[in-house]
Amino acid sequence: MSPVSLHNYLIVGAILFVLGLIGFLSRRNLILMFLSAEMMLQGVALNLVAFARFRGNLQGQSFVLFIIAVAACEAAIALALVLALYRQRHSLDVSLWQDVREPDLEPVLDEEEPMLPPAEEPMPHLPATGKEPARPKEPTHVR
Amino acid sequence: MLLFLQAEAVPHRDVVGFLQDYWPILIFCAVGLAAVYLLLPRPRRYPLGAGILAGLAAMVLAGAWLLHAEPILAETVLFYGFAGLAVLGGGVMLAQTHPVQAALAFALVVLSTCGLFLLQAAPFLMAGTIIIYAGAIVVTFLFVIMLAQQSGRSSADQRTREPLLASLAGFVLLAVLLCVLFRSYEPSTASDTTKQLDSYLVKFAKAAEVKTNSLKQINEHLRSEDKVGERFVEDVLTLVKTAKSRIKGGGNDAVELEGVLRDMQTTLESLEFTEQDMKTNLAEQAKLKQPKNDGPQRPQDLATLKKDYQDLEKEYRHKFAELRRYLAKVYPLGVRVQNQLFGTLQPKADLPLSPYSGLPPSEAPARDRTGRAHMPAHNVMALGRSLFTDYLVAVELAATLLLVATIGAIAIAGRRTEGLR
Repeated sequence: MSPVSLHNYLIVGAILFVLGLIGFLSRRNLILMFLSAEMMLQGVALNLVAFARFRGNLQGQSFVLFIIAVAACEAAIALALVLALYRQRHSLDVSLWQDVREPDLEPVLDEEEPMLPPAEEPMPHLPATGKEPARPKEPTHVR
Repeated sequence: MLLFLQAEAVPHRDVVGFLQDYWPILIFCAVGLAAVYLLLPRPRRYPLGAGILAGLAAMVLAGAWLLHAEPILAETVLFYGFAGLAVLGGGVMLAQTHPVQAALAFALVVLSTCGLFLLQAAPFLMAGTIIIYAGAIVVTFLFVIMLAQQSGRSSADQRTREPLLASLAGFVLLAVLLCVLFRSYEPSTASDTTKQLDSYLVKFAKAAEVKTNSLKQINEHLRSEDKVGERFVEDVLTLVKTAKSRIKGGGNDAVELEGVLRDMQTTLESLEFTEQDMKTNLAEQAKLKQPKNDGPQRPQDLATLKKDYQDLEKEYRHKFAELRRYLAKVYPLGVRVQNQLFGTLQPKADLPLSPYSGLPPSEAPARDRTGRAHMPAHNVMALGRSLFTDYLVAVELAATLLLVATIGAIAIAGRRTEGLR
């Protein structure tokens, strides 16, 4: 039995895939969503490479090469789209594009910022006038 | 913890049995869910320490319960290091409110995955992934981030959509994946069982192909390597018994295979006895043939001995033909049993693949002492051969896709006419 067997790599691949999935579902920055999708692809690529090692052939590695090619295409198109979207709304927030939702769905509104009491401005500290600041006594020498 | 890994995978139908078997996975997923939920950014964040603590706890639990790598060699250490870095990078990417730092965390994930690629004998993929992902894609992402967001973090990065539902969906998926994985590929015992059954079946097939009439040569094929001189038919019988207990409803093929193996065992034993009898018969004949000075020759004894020998030989041949039939039955039956055990997700044996892509799917790869399959030497050369023989059309399609993507990116991102400046 080899020290690190197949299922270890499958578990790591599954964890990476799931982390990417959570990121894709929950993050609102367009670029982070695409990074999460790329992380899901990494998990899948890890699976394929592990299976190739297990079977002792190169088919899994060939598939990963195609995954890389498709990921490069996806990145190019996605970044172009992100730039185009950014030009229209001047933000990368995906929630600003809620007007493309289904007509009978309610828009998702951000929860209000938590109402914090306004921070008190500290009063400016003015120096007292008409008083001589304490200063070290000059050494005098009178004979 | 190892108790769980070595548990027998009998079919469960009740919740209690499921919980008893898969509680480590469920606990790991719950802790991971808590970690991701606590770490996901929101306007009023939970204390960071709690999230980090839960995340580290989840990683330690996964390392102790789920991953199973022994003995501690350099490869094991490297695997744990790279896997931990990859998962850590993924978690940091989820938790970061600053997009640039998130992109750097993604680069960390890519680099650690490349380390794992290298451990899995894929040096070309490692180099390619570093160049394309970490080199090109991450740099382009950083470009876009800096182009689009000069003011640093925005309010969109401080918030997440439905953090609870998203992490719940993710971790339910992870729990399902892990349960299925542990059900079908039990790491410690089952994979050993599979490998042993695999190698034994191959040996049976080879023994069935031998064109000889001597028990010795058949026996040479049916030897186990660790127990010198002993046949492994008994081991295979126990393996098949475990297999039978794991297949839902007993499995007719497993029962039949067990019967065939039992018959083969008795046949082998009786063959040995017959062979022994033949040897003693021959020895006695030789003794009788020797001119002896004390006793008189007894030709009638010699005649009976010769007749006995002929009978024994006939019996031997008969039993040997029987053994042959059993041997020929074992391999196809065993393959069917394995398919029932581990599903029938096998590619067709006659897939049109050239030898450049490795073995055809129907053959078991040659493995070294530690159970690792032999990979083709010269990864780059072998990969290139495979790509340009079996996957040529796919390569052309990928190239076309890249071309289309380039044109599309230029078309989408090209500035609308705003007049000359």
